[in-house]
Amino acid sequence: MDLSYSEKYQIYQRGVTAFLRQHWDPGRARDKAYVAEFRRAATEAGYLYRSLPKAYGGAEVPPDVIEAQIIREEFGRAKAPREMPGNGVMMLVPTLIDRGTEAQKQMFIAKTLAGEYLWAQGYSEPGAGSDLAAVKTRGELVGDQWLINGHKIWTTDAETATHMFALVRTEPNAPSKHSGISYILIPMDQPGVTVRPLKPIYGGHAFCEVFLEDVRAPADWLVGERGDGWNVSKSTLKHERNSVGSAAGTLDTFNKLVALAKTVERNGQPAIKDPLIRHQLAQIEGYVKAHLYSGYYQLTKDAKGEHPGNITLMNKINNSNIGQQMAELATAIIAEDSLIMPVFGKGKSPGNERWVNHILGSLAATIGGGTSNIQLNIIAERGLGLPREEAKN
Amino acid sequence: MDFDLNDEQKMLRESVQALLADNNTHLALTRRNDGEPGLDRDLWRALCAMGLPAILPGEEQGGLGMGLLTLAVAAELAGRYAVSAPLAEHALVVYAIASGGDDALRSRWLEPLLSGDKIATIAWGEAGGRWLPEQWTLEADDGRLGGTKTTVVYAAEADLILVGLAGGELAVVEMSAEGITVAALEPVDRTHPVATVTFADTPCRALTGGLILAKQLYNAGLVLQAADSFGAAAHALDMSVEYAKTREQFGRLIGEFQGLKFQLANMALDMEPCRALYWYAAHAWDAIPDDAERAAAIAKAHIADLAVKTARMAVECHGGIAITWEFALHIFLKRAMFNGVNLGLPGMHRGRSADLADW
Repeated sequence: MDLSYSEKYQIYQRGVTAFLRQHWDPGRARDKAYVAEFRRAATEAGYLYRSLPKAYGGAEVPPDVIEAQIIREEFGRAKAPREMPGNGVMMLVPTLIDRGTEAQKQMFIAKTLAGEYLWAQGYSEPGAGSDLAAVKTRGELVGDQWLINGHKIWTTDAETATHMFALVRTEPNAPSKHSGISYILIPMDQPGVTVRPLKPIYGGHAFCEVFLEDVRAPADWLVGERGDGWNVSKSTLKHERNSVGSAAGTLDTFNKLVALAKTVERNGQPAIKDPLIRHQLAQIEGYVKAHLYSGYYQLTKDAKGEHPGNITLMNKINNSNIGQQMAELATAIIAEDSLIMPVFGKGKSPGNERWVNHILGSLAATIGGGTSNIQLNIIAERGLGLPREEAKN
Repeated sequence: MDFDLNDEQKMLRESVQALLADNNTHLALTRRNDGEPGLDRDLWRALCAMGLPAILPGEEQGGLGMGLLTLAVAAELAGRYAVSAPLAEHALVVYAIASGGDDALRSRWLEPLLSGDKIATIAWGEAGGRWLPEQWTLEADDGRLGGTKTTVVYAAEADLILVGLAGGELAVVEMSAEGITVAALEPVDRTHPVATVTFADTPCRALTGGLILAKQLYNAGLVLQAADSFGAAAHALDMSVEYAKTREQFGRLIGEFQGLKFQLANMALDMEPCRALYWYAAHAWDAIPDDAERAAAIAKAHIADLAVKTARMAVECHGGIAITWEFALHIFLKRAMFNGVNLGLPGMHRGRSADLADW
């Protein structure tokens, strides 16, 4: 066991820091043109869009999870922008690389990486949440266009999105619900697309519902085969799985919670001196550290091309469970301030009530991307090998 | 970055695992559990023949210098197979004598301890939960020792006992010496026979190293215990999962019921990340001295608590069979319970981890 980076990676690390010193000025983080130019240079240097072919705007370097981890760490330290956030880069691009036609790749990938195309994910519906394959949104091929009708929900960034990648039922007579779905790309700027923002319990903007009424998409904007959309949506590139990144975010929140407990005063002393709060912080730290070091283990195994085992099924729920514990403790620390709805923005500078955002927002993490109950099912069935529960639809 | 066992450690794990899987079957364990608690001498000899007591001391001290992580991997298996032997205590005494013993002590004791012909244990605790080296009170004057130590494991079988003294000083006592009273207690965990040991004007030999060595030993003890707890709880979980796949009720496997599935998944979710936690604590003892004390405290507190929680839930998942003496599960539950209390309760260690972070 050795937690330092080997000579080879220390040299790589120095290269990354030198690049950042030369190319990144945090004072210009709001200058869009500057940020775009930085991303272009970072891609050319091999730090962003690493696995994507050069032809589509990627860096096309061989996968290396340790290099990827060094980039995450150093870019994080320098507060430099990484890849464009959002569904486009995270989900659509890997799917197109894996299953798209050459024309689709040419048409969409480079513009998505440049931030010109912004994507909404059209998966969930009011009647298809955890049971995603129950989607009812219909697609009929009329001439050379798909005619689409349905209702999507929990659609992040739908207000700003230029396009949607959607699961659409195109084969209503297919033998199983999974085999009747296609993966279709839809332009958002057209009549029949109605976006209604949904206000989350923690305020601000988060997600929308999207009504699709006689919406059209070109016939060749279907990705993969007709009826194979379920598998298409599951396709991910097998590269540089980010197994430490999630724990790093949790560790960051934990450190902020410790800092909060040191500054908030309870009964005439810092909250962290309160025996109960102190004890609970120490207890949560056990979970945080176990999760963090399990991330190191997964990173090591990934780098060797070995499977880390059942722990890979637990990262999502570990994060959201620890998030829940931190929400409870944050409430105990800020106490009365947790009764105040925080207002963010210029000149607002919220006080301790900013933690309400975590107290309520951490609940979203137990639901989005597969609920905690679904995660437990996955651990039980795929991890522990317990009998599968058969669906009735 | 290489957060994994090395090839030597993996090989050792395989050979210890093979030995224990053959010898400590559930049948063997429940039979042992019916007898008087005590050392499993055949298994002890076999474990010592694999070189386990030699793992910690450096090669210049006659050991293997393979580090605490290596020993902790063996400790995990000792927990997983509920081994009746003072593996951790014995190995730590070997390390203590190799590091802090004079020539006479080393030449008299190292060889028979390394071979396992002689057995050593440690008297850490004192009445009132005084587990920490800073809390010890026994005094030795002119090589004569007096006072009482509690929860000493395998005292009746030990040939040599390492005793913690006031100020974190350390001394060794030969159990054949005069003035020693061993009052054995009826243990809940029958894989850990415990006794209260009283010394009255008993001859002892001091070790050099003082509080620094004492804390090092104590931190190592916490890590080895965390590994042992992890193994015991992992075994209890495995038993529960297997049972859920074979036991039928209402005409179906009980493992089909989501209530039970979620209990088992939550147990796995508690335990699985603990392996990396004790690995890190062991590695910190070996290579990151600034974080070793705190990492050991966190590992002890976290794993001890979750191991007991998991083992208790394992009993619940089995139903009535697990309440019976002849079903092996309670052996692992009691082992986890012993580890929870021995060397100090989890809450105490959380307090220490907070203090050490300057919270």
